[in-house]
Amino acid sequence: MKIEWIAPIGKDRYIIKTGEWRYQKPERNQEKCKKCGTCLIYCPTGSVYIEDDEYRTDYEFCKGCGICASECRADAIIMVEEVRE
Amino acid sequence: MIKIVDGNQAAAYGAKLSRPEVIAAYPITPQTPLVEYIASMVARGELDAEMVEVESEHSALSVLHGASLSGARTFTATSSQGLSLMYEPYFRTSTLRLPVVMCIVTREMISPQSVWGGQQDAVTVRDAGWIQLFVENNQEVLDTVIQAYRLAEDRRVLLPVNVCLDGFYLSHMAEKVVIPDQNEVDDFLPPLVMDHIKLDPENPMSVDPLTPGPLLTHYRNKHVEGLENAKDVIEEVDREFEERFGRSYHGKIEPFMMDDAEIAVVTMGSMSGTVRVIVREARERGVRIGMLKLRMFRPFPKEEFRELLKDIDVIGVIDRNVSFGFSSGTVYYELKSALFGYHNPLMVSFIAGLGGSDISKMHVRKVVEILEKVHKTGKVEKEVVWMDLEEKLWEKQLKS
Amino acid sequence: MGETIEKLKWLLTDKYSNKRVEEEIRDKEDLLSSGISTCLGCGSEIGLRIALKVLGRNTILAIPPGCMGGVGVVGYGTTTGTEVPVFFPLLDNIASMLSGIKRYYRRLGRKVHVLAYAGDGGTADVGFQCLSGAAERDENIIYICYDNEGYMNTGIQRSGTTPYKAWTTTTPVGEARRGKPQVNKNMPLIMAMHEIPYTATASIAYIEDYVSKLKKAAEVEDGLAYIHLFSPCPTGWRFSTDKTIEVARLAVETNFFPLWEARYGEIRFTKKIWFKKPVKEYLKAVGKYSHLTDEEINEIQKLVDDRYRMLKSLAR
Repeated sequence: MKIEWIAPIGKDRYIIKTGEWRYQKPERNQEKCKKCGTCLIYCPTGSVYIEDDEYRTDYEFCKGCGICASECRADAIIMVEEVRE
Repeated sequence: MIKIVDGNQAAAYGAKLSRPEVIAAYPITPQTPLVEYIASMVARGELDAEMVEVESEHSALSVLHGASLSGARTFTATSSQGLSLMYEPYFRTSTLRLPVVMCIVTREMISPQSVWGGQQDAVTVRDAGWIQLFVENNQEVLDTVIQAYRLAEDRRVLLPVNVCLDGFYLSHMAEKVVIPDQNEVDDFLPPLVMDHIKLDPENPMSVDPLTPGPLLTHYRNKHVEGLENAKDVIEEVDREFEERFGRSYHGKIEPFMMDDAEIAVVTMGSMSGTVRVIVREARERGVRIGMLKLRMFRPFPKEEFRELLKDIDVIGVIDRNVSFGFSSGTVYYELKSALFGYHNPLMVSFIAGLGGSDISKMHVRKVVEILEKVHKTGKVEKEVVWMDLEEKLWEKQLKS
Repeated sequence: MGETIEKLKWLLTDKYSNKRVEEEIRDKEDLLSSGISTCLGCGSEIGLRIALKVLGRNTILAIPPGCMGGVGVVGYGTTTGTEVPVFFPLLDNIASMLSGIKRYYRRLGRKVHVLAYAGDGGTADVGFQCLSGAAERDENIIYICYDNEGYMNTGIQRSGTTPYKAWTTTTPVGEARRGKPQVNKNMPLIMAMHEIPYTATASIAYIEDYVSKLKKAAEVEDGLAYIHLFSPCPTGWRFSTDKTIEVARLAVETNFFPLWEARYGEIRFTKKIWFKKPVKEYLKAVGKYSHLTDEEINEIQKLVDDRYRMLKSLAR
């Protein structure tokens, strides 16, 4: 072990690829999306982001809880079965 | 400056001169006056510290955790039940390597209900990773608090230190004490620099993440290394203290009249004063006897004891505490295990001074008498002697 | 007619105001690691993520043992789960440890937010003494209690804030006992009665309300700020992981968990419920109440009404 610290501290970032837990994933219909931001504020993992003026989900961390789909007022998000290779 | 002060006041002076930045304490007999002295020093503006009047001892030490993790020099004091309530943060102070200094004004543990002296409280927490120093008189109280900060904050050590002074026998008894100048103490004790563990938005880190076994073992090993280093550092600190202030306490163990001795009495705390008198008395009668005053109880100075006791035939250890389960005094069995495989002297454990009862000259004379007999006959008749139960002393006391 | 009312309801729900708060928080740095191992649909994770966004980098964070500690917010081994300094206080010394930090930083003349994000066990039960002490001493700390109504990290045991009749693993439902026999501790009101500068209840369903309360808490300089955050737990409360927000919203809409704030003990409601729903709707949505009979539901309705009436009598 390389560590020479004498007291328990942590400096590197703790990251688990929680996307691997997913058994269903959210899919957006960008045409239906009203860009209200509801999915962004309620996402527990902070996985919703905006790119090219579109709301998108970072599947690296999205656990597939379904809150975004449930809360979306425009019904723009549906949960589909996760298919892994 | 020379003043007549009691042990609590001496500790308060020691703390004040060490310039702690955050103090948190909760009153408990016999430590209460210490808190009052500190509070009045802060109120008068003599001591520029944040004083937190917490709602429990558990919180007292916890406030110091936060302050120390932010980089502050800290001070607190407690006794007995307060120390028990503190146990949860107590263990953590040492395992987080926080250089907190805490006086334990020692007191008996209940039950039976008792507010009087006894070292059971401090001794019971001996394996929680702190350094524990026991002192003999009020001058030593003051000087040891200052030394304690140097020891705790030394980069080779970085561990919390207890300065243990006997409840009532020291805490409430006034003696002549030299109060050093602030400038001299400032030269001896530079400001604290904390960087091994810290909570600071400018250098974010997590403190105490969940830690797997092998890494925990690494920290434990480093902790023990710090304790071992303390054995040398206390000697350095004490030597430098002597150079600057002209007073020395011989670091870990003070030998008294040990030249050519065949019998040794081992003591800890205020009882040492009485034992000195009786040892001198016995020497005058031609008994080759000496005393070893144990000052650093944790880490236990095994190596030094082995060296100091190598030519001793008979050892008596007076304990102001009981080891439940080992059925003797605590220092007694620890010393015995330290000597095992090196020397094989005859040893007797004396349990005395519990619950505020005296360790008087009469008691110590009895100790010497028993040790002389052991030396003469080469036989230990009774391994553990409960002094107050000899000749039904407690019945006499209750009657009077 | 029914459609019009439905539309009117939409207009009055906070769903519409999400846009404002979304714009406010979306570009703020997320200081919490994305990959922490909370359960799916965790309400408390939303609460912490937003709290850190609002308070920013100049914050020292206490995460006591509990869900948030267990999932890696304080890190594992030599890592850390946040970009702000974070630590594990003991479960029963959260407010004391923070007091020590704040006192020293104040002495140094440095302004730092000192934040606790603690569960209901560490707040209302074992850590209550030191929290009450810190409130009385006017320690300048921000204390958020994420109330998931039980010891969820150890596996769904009852706590002082577990509601009446709720199922937990230590208040199981059987012939002789039917869930928790006692009524929960009214923790936010107890804190308000300390007459601290700021007390508030908040819900993860009402983010705008929560954000504004966080800001008010951050501005307090003369004492303790306490936010009691209602945080449904799909795992422990037995509902589907996508219903977290819906359940939280129902609790507010039924007055089961009213939203209010108090300055120095003076209470003010922050969310007016125009169409109060029967508590039954909330209870039916949560699996831990699935054993309730109609009679028991009525009993809970009465308890909720009584509490709300009491609160109203205290409010401005």
